[in-house]
Amino acid sequence: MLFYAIQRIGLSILILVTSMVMLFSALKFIPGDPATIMLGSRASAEMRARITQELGLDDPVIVQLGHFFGRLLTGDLGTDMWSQRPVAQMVMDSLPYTLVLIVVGLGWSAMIGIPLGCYSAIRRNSFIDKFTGLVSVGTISIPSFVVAIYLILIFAIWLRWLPVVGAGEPGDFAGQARHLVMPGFALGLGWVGYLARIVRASMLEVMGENHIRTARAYGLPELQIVRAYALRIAILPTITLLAVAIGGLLSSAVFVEAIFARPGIGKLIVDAASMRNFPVVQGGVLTTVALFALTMPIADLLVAWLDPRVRATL
Amino acid sequence: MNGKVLDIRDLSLRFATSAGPVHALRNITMAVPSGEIVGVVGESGSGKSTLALAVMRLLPGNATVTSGAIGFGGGDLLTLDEEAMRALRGNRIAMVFQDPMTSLNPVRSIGQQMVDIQHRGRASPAEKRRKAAAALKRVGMPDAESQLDRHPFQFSGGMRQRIAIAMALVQRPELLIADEVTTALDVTLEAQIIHLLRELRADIDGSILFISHNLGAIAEICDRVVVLYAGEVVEHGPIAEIFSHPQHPYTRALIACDPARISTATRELPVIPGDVPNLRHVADGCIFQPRCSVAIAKCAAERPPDRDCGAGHVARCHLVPEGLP
Repeated sequence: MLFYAIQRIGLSILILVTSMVMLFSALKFIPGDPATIMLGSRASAEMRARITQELGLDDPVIVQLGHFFGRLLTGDLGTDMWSQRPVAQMVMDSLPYTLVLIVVGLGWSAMIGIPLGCYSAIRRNSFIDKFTGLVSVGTISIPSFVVAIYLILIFAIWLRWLPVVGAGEPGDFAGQARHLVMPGFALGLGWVGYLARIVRASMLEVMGENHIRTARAYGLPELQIVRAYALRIAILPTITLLAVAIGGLLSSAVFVEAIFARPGIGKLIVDAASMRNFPVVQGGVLTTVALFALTMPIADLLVAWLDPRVRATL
Repeated sequence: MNGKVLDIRDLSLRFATSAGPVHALRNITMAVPSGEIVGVVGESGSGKSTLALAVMRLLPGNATVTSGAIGFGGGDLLTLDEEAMRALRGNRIAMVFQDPMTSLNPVRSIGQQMVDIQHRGRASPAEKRRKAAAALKRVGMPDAESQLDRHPFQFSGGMRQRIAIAMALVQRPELLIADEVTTALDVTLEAQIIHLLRELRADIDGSILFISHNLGAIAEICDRVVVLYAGEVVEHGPIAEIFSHPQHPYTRALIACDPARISTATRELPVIPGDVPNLRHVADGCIFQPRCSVAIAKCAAERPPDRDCGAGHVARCHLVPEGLP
């Protein structure tokens, strides 16, 4: 088990390093000189040269990369070119908003998707099954920002049940929760379809296995068969999918945070990118990549822990 | 000891398929007398497992029973509602399945599964666990108590089948259905499992419906045997009678093909020519006629009657003379 964990985490570190190199070079190759952007087009050549030197932009690329990694290891993500605040601080401030949004989004999609998939597998070809098929295609194909706009229209403007924008006052737990309902739903809805489909397929397979027939031959209650005997196995591929979903949700969070004006990491990156604020973009993207790189091994370990067959082979 | 635990009368059922209905079982009449082991023998596709699943009422959704009754405990299983049937399963009728590698739940421990099946019992969880351990001990599991926390994949095929049998015995059922329980095992293990069933037979007061295509296994363990061919009972009777005086040509062919009796001198494998018939259109005459080596003209035209050969031995064949005994 320990070896497996080390192996999985090692792989994540490799992903992280690769993405850092790619991110670093991408920012090097896109047009636009950071010194010019900082100082404006009317700055003198001397000033530009000084800033370039201060930022180390005239060093060879490999040296810059080395510095970049060195700073990362000490937790230094650089400094915001406009406000001079440390990027690590800015990321840390916005990260909780995004994390809680993703958790709520996943919660919504799991709460709707897993029961739908499960039920449509047990009652195959029923009305619910056909309805689930329709919902799956629908939720997969409707972009989250469209859902977000309709949600705002219905629940915030017409019904006035929920607040429109922001994340709520710090300390006001109920208010923050109310601010999470719609963004979370808009974010999670896209994954309802995937989850329902994979749970349905996985349940259909498991329910057809011999051991389910054995459980029936002992007259076990159907609910116990579904929950303890079938879903316990069928949920395993779903956990891996949920980890992939976190990656997807991290990227769709950008739109949702923009629409609902939530001060999350997605909004931070978008705002910084539009102003060519490279260190902030870099820091924000790196953090999201790191989050995703962490999620996969956690999901794999969770699956291994839940499946005694896998657990035993580690 | 003269009562019948299981009394199947005139049972017919069909499967709906995309190519039309398949008449898988036709007018099956057979019984398991209490305390006896009754074997059901036949080729693949003869309807042996379908018969077992029909008794358990665990047939797939495309199956329809078209006639007959399955008498058990004074009632007809076919008229019970689902809840009443569920109450019988595992409690009064238990079934052991063919493939021990897939018939146990892979993610629940042996102990959990053996406690689960006592869900109707009012005993405490600890008491249920003790009962599970006792059942494991009875099937020859060493160190039974500590095995309860292990999972099926940690056992060999033979051990898993012992566990499956132990599970079936936990509630001391009146009827045990063993569906090809030795087929997936190698020969040594097969002998061990059969030996175990014979031992347990003295232990439980129940009766066993032993389904197998293996005549050797049937001969080892059964008191009576029912020969099934293409969904019909073609011959049945006491085990010694059937093996020493088989009357139906199919039974004779089956015994001739038994690997244990093959002569090694000729190095020729005896076979029954032809295939199990297509059960979408059942012919008028004898079901075995197309493959029968001794068929006469009458066999293709007229359904053979059940002829009593004495001593409870009955064969469905025109060639068996009337009033034989």
